[in-house]
Amino acid sequence: MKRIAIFVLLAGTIAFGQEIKMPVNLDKLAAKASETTEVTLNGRTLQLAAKFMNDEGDEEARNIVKKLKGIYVRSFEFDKPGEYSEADIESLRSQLKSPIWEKVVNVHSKREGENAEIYFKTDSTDQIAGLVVIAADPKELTIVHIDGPLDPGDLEKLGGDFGVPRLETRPQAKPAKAGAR
Amino acid sequence: MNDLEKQLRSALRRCDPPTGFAERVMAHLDRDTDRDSQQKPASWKRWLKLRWAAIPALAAILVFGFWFRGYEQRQQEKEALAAKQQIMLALRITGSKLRMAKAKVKAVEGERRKTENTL
Repeated sequence: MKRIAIFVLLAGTIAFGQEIKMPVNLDKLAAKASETTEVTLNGRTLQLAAKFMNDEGDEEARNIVKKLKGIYVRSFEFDKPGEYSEADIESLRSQLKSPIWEKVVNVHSKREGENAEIYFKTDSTDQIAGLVVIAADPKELTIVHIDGPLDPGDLEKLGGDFGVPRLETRPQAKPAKAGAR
Repeated sequence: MNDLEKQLRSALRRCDPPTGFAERVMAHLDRDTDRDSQQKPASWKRWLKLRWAAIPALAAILVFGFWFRGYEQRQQEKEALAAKQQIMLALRITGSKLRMAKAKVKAVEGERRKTENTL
C-alpha cells in the first residue's frame, strides 16, 4: 500500500513536472503593455465549448478543440521597444526541455529584431502532444501553449483557417525541422 | 480508604436482580410493540389527510427543479459561448504566429539559396 502511494505521488509529480507554467513575470508585463490578450482555457471548458460549436464553419475548430486539454495565450503589445527582456521569456523556455519538448522552428532576425520559436511536445508514440509558440518582436510578445494531441492536419488548419491563409504542409507528413538563425 | 470510597463501593456493589425482573421487562417490551402496531394505521390516516397539502408542495418542488435545470443550462450555454469566442481568438493568434514563423523560415531559406547560387 505504501509503495502504491509512493508510486502515485511520484507519477503525479512527474506528470505535474511536465506541465508548462506560464511565468509569473508575464503578468507583470501586462502593466507595461498597451494591449494585452490573455486566454486561459482548461480541458473542461474546452469540452463544454466544443459541444456548442455547431455553427457553420465551426467543424474544423471543434475537431481540434475536442481533443485538447488546454489552450493558454499571453500576448502583449507595447508602445515602445524594450519593455520586456529575455529573462521574461527564459523561465518559460527553461521548461521546454528535451526529450519531452523539441524545438522545431527557431528564427532570429537581428535586422528586424523578430524572433519565432516553435516547440512540439511528443508522446511515447511520436505523436504531437502539445505545442508552444514564442513570437517576439521589439514591440510585441506572444506566447501560445496548446496542450493536447495535434496532428499535421490540425496544424495546417491552424495556420490556414480562422481568417489567415493556409500553411502549405503535405498531408500526413511529419512536420519538418527548420532551425534557422 | 476514606468514607466516600466506602460509600461508593457499597452503592456500586454487584447484586442480583429481584425475582421476576426479566419477566417484567419482557412484558413491558411486548406492550410497547403492541402500542406501536396500533398507532401505525393512525399515522397513515394523518398522512391521507395531509395529501392535499403535499400535492402543491410536490408541484412546487417539481416546478423549481425544472426552472433550476433550465437556469443551469442557460448558464452553461453562456459559459460555452464565451469560451468559444476565446477559443476562436486563441486559434487565430496561433494561426497568425505559425504563419509568421513559416514566412520567416521561407525567407531565411530563400536568402540561403540566393547565397548558394551566387557562390
